[in-house]
Amino acid sequence: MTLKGQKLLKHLVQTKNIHIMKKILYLFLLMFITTFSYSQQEKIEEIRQYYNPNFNTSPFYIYYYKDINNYFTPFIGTWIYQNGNQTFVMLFWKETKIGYPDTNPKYYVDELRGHYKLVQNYGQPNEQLIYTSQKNVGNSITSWPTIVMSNQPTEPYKMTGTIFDVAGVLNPSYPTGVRGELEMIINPANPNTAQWEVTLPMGMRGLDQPSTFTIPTNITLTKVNQ
Amino acid sequence: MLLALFSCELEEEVLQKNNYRENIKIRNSTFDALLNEQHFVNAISKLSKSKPAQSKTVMEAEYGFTILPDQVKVLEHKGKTFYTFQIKREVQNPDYFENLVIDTDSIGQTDAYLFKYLPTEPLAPSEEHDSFHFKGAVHITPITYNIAIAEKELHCVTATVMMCDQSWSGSGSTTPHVATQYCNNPNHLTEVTTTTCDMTAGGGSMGAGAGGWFGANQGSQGSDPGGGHAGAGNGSGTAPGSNTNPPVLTAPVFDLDQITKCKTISKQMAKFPGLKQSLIDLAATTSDSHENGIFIDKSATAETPDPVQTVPVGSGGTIKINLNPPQKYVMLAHTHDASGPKGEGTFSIFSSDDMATISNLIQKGKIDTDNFVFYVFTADGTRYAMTINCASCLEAFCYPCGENLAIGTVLDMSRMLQISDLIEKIYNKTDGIHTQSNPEDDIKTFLKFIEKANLGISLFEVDATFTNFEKLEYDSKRSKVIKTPCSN
Repeated sequence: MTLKGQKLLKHLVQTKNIHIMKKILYLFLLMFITTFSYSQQEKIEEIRQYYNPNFNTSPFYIYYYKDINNYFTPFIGTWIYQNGNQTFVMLFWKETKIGYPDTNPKYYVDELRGHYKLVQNYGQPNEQLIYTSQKNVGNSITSWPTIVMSNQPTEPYKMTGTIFDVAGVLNPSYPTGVRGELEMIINPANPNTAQWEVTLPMGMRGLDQPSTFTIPTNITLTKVNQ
Repeated sequence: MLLALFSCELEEEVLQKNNYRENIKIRNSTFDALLNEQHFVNAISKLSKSKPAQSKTVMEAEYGFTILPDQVKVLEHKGKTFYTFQIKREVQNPDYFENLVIDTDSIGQTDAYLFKYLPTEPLAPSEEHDSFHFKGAVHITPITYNIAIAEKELHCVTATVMMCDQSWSGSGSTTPHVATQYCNNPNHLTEVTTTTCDMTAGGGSMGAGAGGWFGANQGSQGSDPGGGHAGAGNGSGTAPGSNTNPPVLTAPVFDLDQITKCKTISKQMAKFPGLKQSLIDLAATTSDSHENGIFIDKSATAETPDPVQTVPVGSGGTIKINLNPPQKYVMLAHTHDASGPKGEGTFSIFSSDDMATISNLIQKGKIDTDNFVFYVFTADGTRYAMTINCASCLEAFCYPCGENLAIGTVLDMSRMLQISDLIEKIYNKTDGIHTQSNPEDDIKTFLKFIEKANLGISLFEVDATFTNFEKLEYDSKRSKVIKTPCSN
């Protein structure tokens, strides 16, 4: 073979190698895109699974724990409890697909959020605010996005979760006030009334840690609007 | 013919390896026992530039560590002696453990090195063999003093780490573990050679080198490393330049009780002879309509006549702990009474508030985390103890927690919501721990809680006589609780 022929053959082999390498690169790119797309796939789960300690998640999905069965619906709206001229007002609303991007795996969840207040002369022109949970946490500049947490109903008419009593005098060492366990059960026969119960969680506490509730702990609430 | 020659070479290599391993002697000792050996006293005196009897050597002060004196591995080979100690720092990093290796020869030439072992898998004890399994990376830093910046030079250290795959009983595991004095069959000793290069200076490593990596099932069976080489097989690190020093011979030393924590309980029981009866008496009060509690603080010694003090009962029937005691707590015990917060019964295991309070106390520096034991006895007839493996993990659990937020503080509300959600998942919900849940299921759920909340604690079940303790761990693959009796 002549020198020119050898050079041509070498060039052909190099070109072929480049083509093979390109194909491998495309294949890897395709695999990467496929894997990436797969890892980003969203999976909708019933909200009950969010609170199931035995539910195993897969790192390949972004989970969305959704209120598929509309357990939230009966709770949404304004509930009141009247005692003389003072009215305890509890407002619940639904926020959908709240994202928690810092977790592994990432997830979204529907949340039933809420805030309370105590007013005098509720609904009157001279209505006066006695206390409200719509304020900052302690001395921070972070406001409470909701005063009830982990309270997503996972069965009809029943909600349990955590509530923070921030109505009392602020003890700067305990910026979240008194943590309570909330149980709210709607009367199925009359869905406009509900039993509201707040208790102190079981466990050891600090000597100076506040443990007396200011908010009502055992009342019947009446729903006044959706 | 060629094949025959190759076979001969291989055979010779095997003979060399066996000869090398047969010449290695491994024994256990303690720092105090070694102080009776002149060879060791000479070595440590040269390194520490102070009398060894002093409470802390210059070497420890300069490098910011303390030698743990209870367990030393001594390896001897061809006239050289290698002393390996576990060391501890004021702030322990749970991601690795460290050893000090002192290398001295027959003419008294002495060097010292810090070995940092970074496990890639959790350390697993093999207690019957007084050993443990290790898989991960190792980084070596030579101990040097007062070297001027201009005198810094690239220094490579090659080390041979001894492992063992000997079974210790008929049914025992042959999974490689760290070599101990019980690995007495040279056929089962394996060497892992690793090299680290650093710019050495007075303060320690300048981080120019790369650590080696080895694992229990990755050990290279190197040849006699007497000539000094830059590592072989999977155990090698990247070693720029040559190294003419013979390898440092060692076997990792790690106090297994940092994994099992059994000794923490037994040591405390032994230190305070009256504690057992106090715990039995406390456990008998679970039928009360309120919680009860006792504690011991760090001021108590073995000679203190009555070290056990009572925790006051607060409103709602729960006990109230002084979060700012004059001394750190070393023991806290409390009951979960039959009544519970709603008069419907009790939690059969620690509550999230129990954990939050301990977390809060750690944040305030009021827990002796290395020696602390926390008990709960419940009206369900259950008795548990817990100890702390990772203080920083448990410290992070409570948020925001008993802290006076400065004006203008920005809170991590997402973190707060997630902790709250996790607590709700584990407690109260139908599948979680609640007053009516099954105690056996509660163990499983609580062990999951330890893992998911990264509490960094060990959980033990206690018998009615407070003599036997079983460590409880969750095997997620088989969805089963493993109960391992504490042997001491």
